[in-house]
Order: sequence, then structure tokens, then C-alpha cells
Amino acid sequence: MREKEVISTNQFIWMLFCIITSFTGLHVIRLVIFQARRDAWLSVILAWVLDVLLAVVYAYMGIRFPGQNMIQYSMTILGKRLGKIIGISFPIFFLLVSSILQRGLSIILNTVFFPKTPVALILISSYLVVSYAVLKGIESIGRVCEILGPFFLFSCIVLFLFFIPDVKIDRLKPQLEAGLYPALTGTPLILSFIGICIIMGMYIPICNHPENGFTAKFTAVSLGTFVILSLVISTIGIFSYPQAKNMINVSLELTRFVHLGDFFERVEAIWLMIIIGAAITASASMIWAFSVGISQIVGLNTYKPLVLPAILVSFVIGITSFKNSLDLVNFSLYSYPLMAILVETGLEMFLFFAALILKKKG
Amino acid sequence: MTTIIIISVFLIGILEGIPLAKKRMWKELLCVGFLLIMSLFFQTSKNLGMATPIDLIEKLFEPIGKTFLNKL
Repeated sequence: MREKEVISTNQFIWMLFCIITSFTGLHVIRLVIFQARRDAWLSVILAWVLDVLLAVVYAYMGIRFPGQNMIQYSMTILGKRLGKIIGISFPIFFLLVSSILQRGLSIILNTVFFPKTPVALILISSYLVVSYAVLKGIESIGRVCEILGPFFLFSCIVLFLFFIPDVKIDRLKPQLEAGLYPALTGTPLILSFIGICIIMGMYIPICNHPENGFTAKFTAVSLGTFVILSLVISTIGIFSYPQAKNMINVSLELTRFVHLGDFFERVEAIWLMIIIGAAITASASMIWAFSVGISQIVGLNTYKPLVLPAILVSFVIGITSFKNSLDLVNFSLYSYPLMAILVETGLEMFLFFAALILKKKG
Repeated sequence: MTTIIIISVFLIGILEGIPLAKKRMWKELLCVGFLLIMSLFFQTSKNLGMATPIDLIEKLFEPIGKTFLNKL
């Protein structure tokens, strides 16, 4: 008997928020500054606009095919065979995102905090927590995010308030120094990372108010974009563009900057605890989406037996794929955005137009 | 690392496989088996110097990405 899992709109929002900010906060700030230079803030805003438009499509499809996620309506629209071939791209994408996220987290922890601890050990401990979370179900993950999400947002706001005195707005000038090209190429880069919240397509059918899908995504993306924007502006305003583009982990460097006299310093450990929590819940959501997706493709009664094997596959992909942080940065900058845009936007737009042309409804 | 993966495959196979076999959930068992074999395959292919899924994605998309984005 398939599990009947239900999440509230609030949980929906905070799960998406945790996914967006952990994934982007860990990997992307430096990359978007490297690509878009001082206009990185413009790329973030443009990416927000495009992501909201994408959310309209996902929310519309969620209403047009009530009770169905992207994998299910792929099969409804395109038939069993072609629908499965197209639909399986989504769970595989979520699995890869989980691997990349966890690998990025383990590299940061290994480089900054635990240089003598093998990366494999950090990965194993993360995945043990992720597997526990997924086996408990998406409702548990949602409840954790409902607590962690506001805490995360609050900490970002507090950090930003600490940064404000040191931010020099002049370092963000001159705007459009190299024309529009850097900002325009930075937009799909950051969109591919915040666009991971297409997992909303998996959440809408299990939300107790599916009609709130767009509102939930809009809220989550707006909050997430606010956090990313404040990090981008703070980074360039404090460190300036030439230094910021070469930083390994921007958010960590920013938190090291926080101090109140001599008694309030070294808050990066607290920041990292929060971001690890968010990254683990994000990874758990991805593994859940993969397990549910595969179980629907194959036609299983339950997704739970697939969780541990999925964790193992994700772990193996993570441990075998990137030798060091430079490999990961290379992949995140040059390969991941195109793959992500293809899945997040390309596939969904294809399904959208196919549903309209073929007049398919749920 | 390969040893850890093999032991994990074995443990997960027992943990998930036995209850599924008892309940005669053959599709689920097959799926679990397939995923475990896949993880072994990825690990072994890395040991043999073959491409991983990420390597294949990189080969496909990196040239296009480098055309449009700044060089590191």
C-alpha cells in the first residue's frame, strides 16, 4: 500500500527555502561573482524573476494534473513508455543534486574544520543522518524544516545586520562595466541552482492545499533570493570583486568577519551547524524524491525499500566523482548549469506544451 | 573504499532483501538489487579507470559551458 504522506503549506515553504539556500549558499555565491562580476546582484534578481515564471508553469501543471507529480504526469501526457523515459530524468537529477550537495559539504568540512578526517567518513556520517531522515518520511523532514528554516532565515538576517557597517557600496560600482553579458550569463548560472526547487512538483500532490503551490514556491524563492542577494552584496561590498571571485567559500569567510568587540567572534561554527542542518534536509528531500520517483516509474507499492540503496548510489557517485574542490567547482560552473536548465526548464516546458497540444488533463 | 561499498551492499541487501522476500514483493526486491548492483558498478568502474556518470555529464556539457562562461 503506497504511503499517504501529507505536508502543510508552511512545511512546503520551509523545505524549499532550506533547499535553495543550502545548495546556493554552499556552492554558488563565488561562482556567480566570478561570472557576473560586480553585477552579480543583477543576475540574482533576474534569476528570481525567471524562477517565479517557472513556478507558474509548475504550479499550473500541479493543478492541471491534481494528485500527480512530474513523473506521474509525464506518463499521463506522453503515455507509459515515453513518459517513463522522460519522467526518469527528474529522479536521476535529484539523486545527482544530492551527491553534489553532500560532496560539496564534505569538502568544506574537511578543508576548514576537519583536515585530518577522511572525506569519506564525513560523507558516511552525513548520509547516515540523511537515511534516517528519509526513512522517517517527508512529513518528518517537513517538520524539521519548519523549525530549522525560520532559524536559518533569522541567522541570515542577523549576519547581514552585522555586515552592513562594513559594506562599501562603492565596491559594487561601476555597474555594467563590461556590458550586460556578465549579468546575463550569470543569470542562468544562479537560476540552475535556485531552480532545484522544481522539487515543488513532487510536493504539490502531497500538500494539504495543492492550490497553494505557487504561493509557497514564490515565498520560498523570494526569501531564498533575499538571502543570496544579501550574501552577494555583502561579499562584494566587504571583500571587493577581485578577492571575492577567488574565495573558496564565501559565506564562511563572511561569518569569520563577524565580531562584536573581543567577546563575540568565531561564529562560523554556529553558521556551519545551521547550514549543515539545511544541507542534510535538502539532501534528504532529494533522496526522498528519487525514491518516490523510481517507485512510481517501476510501479512499486512503496518507496521505502529503495531509500538505503539510493543513499548508497548517491554516496558512491559523490565519492568517486570529484577528486578535490577544484573538480567540484569546475563541474558546478561549466557542466551542472546546462544539465540543470535542461531538466528544470527544458523538460517541464516540453511537458507543458505537450499537455496543451495533446489536450491532456488529470 | 571498495570494501566499504561491498560490505554496505551486503548489509543493505540483507536488511531490505529479507523482509521483501518474506512479503513476496519481488518487484521491490529486483529494484533494490538493481540499485545495489549499480552502486557496485560505479565503484568498480572508478577503480578500473572508466568514466563515472559525472564524467560523462562533464564531457557532454563542459565544452558548451566553457564557450559562454569565464575561464577559471
